[in-house]
Amino acid sequence: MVCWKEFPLTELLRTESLEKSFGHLRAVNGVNVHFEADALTSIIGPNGAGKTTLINLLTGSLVMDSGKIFFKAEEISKMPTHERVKRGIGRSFQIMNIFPMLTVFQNIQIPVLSRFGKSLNFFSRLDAHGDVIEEVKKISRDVGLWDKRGLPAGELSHGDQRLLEMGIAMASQPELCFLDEPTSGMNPGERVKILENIRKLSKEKRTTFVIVEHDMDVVFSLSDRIVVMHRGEVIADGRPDEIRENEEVREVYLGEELEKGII
Amino acid sequence: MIASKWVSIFGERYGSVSNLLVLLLIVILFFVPQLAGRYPMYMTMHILILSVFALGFNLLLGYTGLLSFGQAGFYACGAYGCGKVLLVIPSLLPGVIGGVLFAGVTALILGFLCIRHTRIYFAMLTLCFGMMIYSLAWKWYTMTGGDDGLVGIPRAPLEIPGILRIDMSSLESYYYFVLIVCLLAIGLLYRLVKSPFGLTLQGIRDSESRVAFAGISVKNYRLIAFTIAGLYAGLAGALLPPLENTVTPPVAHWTHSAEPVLATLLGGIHTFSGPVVGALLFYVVKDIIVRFTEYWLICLGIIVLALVMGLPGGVVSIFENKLIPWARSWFAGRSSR
Repeated sequence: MVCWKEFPLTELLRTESLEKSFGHLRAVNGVNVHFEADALTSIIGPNGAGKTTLINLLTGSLVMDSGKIFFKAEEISKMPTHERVKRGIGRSFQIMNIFPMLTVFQNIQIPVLSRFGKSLNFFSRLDAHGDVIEEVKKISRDVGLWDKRGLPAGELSHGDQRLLEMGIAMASQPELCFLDEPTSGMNPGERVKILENIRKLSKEKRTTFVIVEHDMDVVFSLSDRIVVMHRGEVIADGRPDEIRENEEVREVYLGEELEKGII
Repeated sequence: MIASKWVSIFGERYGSVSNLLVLLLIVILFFVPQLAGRYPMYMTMHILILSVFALGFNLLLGYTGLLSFGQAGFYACGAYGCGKVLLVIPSLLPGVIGGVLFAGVTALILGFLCIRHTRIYFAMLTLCFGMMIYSLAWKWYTMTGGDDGLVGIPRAPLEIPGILRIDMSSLESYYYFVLIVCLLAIGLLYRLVKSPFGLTLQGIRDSESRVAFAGISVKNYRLIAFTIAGLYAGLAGALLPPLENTVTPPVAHWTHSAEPVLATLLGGIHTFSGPVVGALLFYVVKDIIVRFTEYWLICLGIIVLALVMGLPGGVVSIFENKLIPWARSWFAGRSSR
């Protein structure tokens, strides 16, 4: 297993005292985190710990109050989302975010067209871009939705929509991809499919994943490193076995689950 | 060859059946002056103009997910721009092109301010700007002629110096000009919505944030769509003054902005041909109801209401879901025999 502390891995993203408040609520409070290439990191924490807010800040979906974000040594704090995406950041959403009225094929086609720099092609036919078509074929096979390519995405089952969303996120070939609760609302069979996908893609080492997840089985089996958040702050950061032993984490978060004998 | 290019305009999904329908429609349109009188010809021109107007509007509503209530403002820019040019240079092309460009530039500038918002805020902003243009048309007497409007606009000849000169004084020749320009514009827009750009717009309609995460600047794409819609409204407007010889402020009024909205809802917002079918229905229904009552807009409103509630996909969805599959299976049944 890759251990992020012992090897000098390439740093992909780093934050400096990130802050974000909603009214009186400090959702993210002076967070300093960093994510290294090829180490699968999970962010865990109780509800309202600020995990999704953190991801929203890192991807540009929300504007931070103060602090700095660096991606591969370049400051991206004030960049709009699409500029960050061009530099290699991607994400999937906690609440399903696909193009429901378009077909599965078209869903994946949009980000691929963008990656190939062809979105501003006004008068060419869609099927005139063979390279794009091939790439979309490959991705839809990878996520296992090739047979359903002609269906409107809104008509897919929940699990398939999750897979599709993952396909859309991967179609941009991000170097760093945030997955916000990728297995939420899935049945066990679908969950295995998603996890296999994440594992496979992670092994290919093209994309580094950062996952927000509630399912502790998933977190501890998948992660190389775990970051624990509580009330907008990072309270622990380390290998899964270190996190399991960490007293503070046990208190605020795992206690409940340990009692239940889940871990 | 040209015909086969044109037949794919209305929907390649339905293959030969709809291609045949479109081809038939275009042939009929070319023979309207021979087959029917002056009034149907005049009406057809208005239907074509509204079609172009509504198609541009539907690029925003059906494809990009933005409801604009100010399209009449750009229509008026096209109409006044064309009228102004024709009063100075009596030549059709500079007039029409001038009107279209004027509308496009206006849409680019106002769009820059409007596309920052979506939903009701966008609709209200476009309504405001539309009404500002209306006020300008109404009050800026020296420029627009106030409530008299621009009068005495000539139906100037179509001329390219040294190459061709076609007299437009007869209604028939102007009909062909309008027909060809509108067909070209419709064909161009069809290519546009089937292009990578068109697909990306539909992505923005479905999920703005997901498109942003494909590395696309949603605002810029919206602005381009808004400008194209403005160009189409401008083209529709620019075809009007040579026909009517006059332009008056009501073309900029918000009730005129409602026409493409109604036509699009009648025909169906999620099909390319919806606004065209809607424009046809709009004029046919209006023409029939007007004979009985001057409150035709109320009756049309009721029809639109019934359609929106009972047939959310618009009239075209009947064709798509019922008639075309039926015709297809009928053809298939025949050929397999």
